[in-house]
Amino acid sequence: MTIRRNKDFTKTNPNYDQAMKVFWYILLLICIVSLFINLTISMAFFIKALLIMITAVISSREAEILFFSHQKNADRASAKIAISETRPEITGLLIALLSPIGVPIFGVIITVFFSVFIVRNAFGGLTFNIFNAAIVGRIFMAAAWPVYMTSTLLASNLIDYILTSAFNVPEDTLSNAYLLKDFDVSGSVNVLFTNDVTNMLGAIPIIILLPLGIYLLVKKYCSYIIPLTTMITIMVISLIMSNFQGASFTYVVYNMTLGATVFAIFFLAVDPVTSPRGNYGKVIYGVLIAVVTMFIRILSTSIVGILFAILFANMLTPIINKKSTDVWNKGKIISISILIIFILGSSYFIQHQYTLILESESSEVSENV
Amino acid sequence: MGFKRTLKRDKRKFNKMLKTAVIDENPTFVTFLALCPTLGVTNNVANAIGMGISVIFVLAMSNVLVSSISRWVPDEIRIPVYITIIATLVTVLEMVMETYMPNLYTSLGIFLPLIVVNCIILGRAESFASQNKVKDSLFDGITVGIAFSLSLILLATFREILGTGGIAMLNIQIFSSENSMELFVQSTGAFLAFGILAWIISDLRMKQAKKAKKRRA
Repeated sequence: MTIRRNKDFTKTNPNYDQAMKVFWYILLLICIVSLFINLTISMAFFIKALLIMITAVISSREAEILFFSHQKNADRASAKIAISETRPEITGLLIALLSPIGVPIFGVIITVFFSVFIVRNAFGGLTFNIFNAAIVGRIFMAAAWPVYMTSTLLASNLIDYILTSAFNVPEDTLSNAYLLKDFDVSGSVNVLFTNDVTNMLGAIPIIILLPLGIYLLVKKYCSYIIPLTTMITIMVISLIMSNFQGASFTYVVYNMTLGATVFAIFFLAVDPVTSPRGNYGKVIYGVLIAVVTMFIRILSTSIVGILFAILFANMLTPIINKKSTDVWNKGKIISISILIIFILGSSYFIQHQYTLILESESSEVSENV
Repeated sequence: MGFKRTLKRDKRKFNKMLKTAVIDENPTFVTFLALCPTLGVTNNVANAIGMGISVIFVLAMSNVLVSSISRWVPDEIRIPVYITIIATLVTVLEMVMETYMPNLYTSLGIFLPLIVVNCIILGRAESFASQNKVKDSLFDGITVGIAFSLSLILLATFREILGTGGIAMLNIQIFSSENSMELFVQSTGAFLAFGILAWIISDLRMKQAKKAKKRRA
């Protein structure tokens, strides 16, 4: 059984298979670090995290085998050979790294099946899909079991019950690191070493995460433009916001590093299948991700803001591919200036909306008094 | 004797029409008509049954009325005339439901008056009732209505079991509501569930068609 490939895609990404191999080993490394940090918190968390990862990988393979053998009427053995080329394990492991510690094991299985079977394969298969399958899976998970997303091990499902009764689990481990609405971030928190593995297994300290991401960029397995533009735009918007709200520079650093930001930018946004082909297209894509992320962070309370932002940018990728060129001409200068005005304008818009929200909240409080 | 024979013939005709409407030309899963109420009211089985019965009533009555007056309706203004008939029937239904079934009335909400623009009803009036006899039109209205309500109930069962862990109307709880996927009772889940069901059904139909082709060859 042969696997159909997108011709445009293979032309622009000749070393995609090698990149996937390296990416897989880097994800395994992140898993090991995450497991180690979980072990330092509690033995129960370590076992749960390991179970989530193993289940995700196995069920992603099974889902892909099922799809191939169903769709192409092949037997299991030839389907197994075919999936060694498509590597569904990467999607599975990414979902495991995006999921919180409290998610039930059956939830992981259903999410991975949904993501691999429908988002990855029914929407075109390898190098044809529109959306990043792992992100859609994580958002499906968050919409399906909202209770489990913001809590530690719950006694209502069996494995968690066994784990909580066998080992002692610290109660208050969930932080609000994703909710960067608070402007009075003060004190000297060591950003390099803080982690958020209970909220999202892949959110390990950026002192380990950042070198791994940079290794991918240096080896040219993925484009450096997307992370760079995203980071710079986040920095600009949060600088403007902190300037207005009187927050310290720590707030800016927080916005750029904490939570899932680095993981999502370096390992999910750069996916060559769902990001634009041209260099200028990548700039637009990065800016879009950053602006939507800041919108969601400040004006809403969703904890997976950056994932929604990446999904939104994925959706616009075909039109970016169609409308943007890498040729320098007069139109390019106008387009770049429009982009800069867009960044500044949206940050002022967020600022304005935020003050409106504050005003309405304060008026409600005074009415209640 | 003649009456009995007519009854028998009618029964056979009705069964044939029912099979066509439910399986071959299912309004929801094959021809994809009237998706707005399908996605809107199927968050629980009770609503789906209420909606199905309302549609059966309106469809049968409108088909009868349209086919009985179609001889005198000028071709240029037939659509406004049909719409007026359907709107009258829906208004009657709405008033009756508000008086005798207030709970169902509030839970169906805006989708009850929207039956007026339900494309199954206008479609059957235009394509079937205006060209056929009164009795056939009545049969057609009832069978298509049954097909529509069966698909609503199928979708609602799928969504309610996944979304809440059981069926509230029958007091069945299959698994704990804490573990259920809340997504499926929300409107996002409606699209998802409908897509999955339509996929399964069209897949089955394609396989059946292939088998039939092989048998013929």
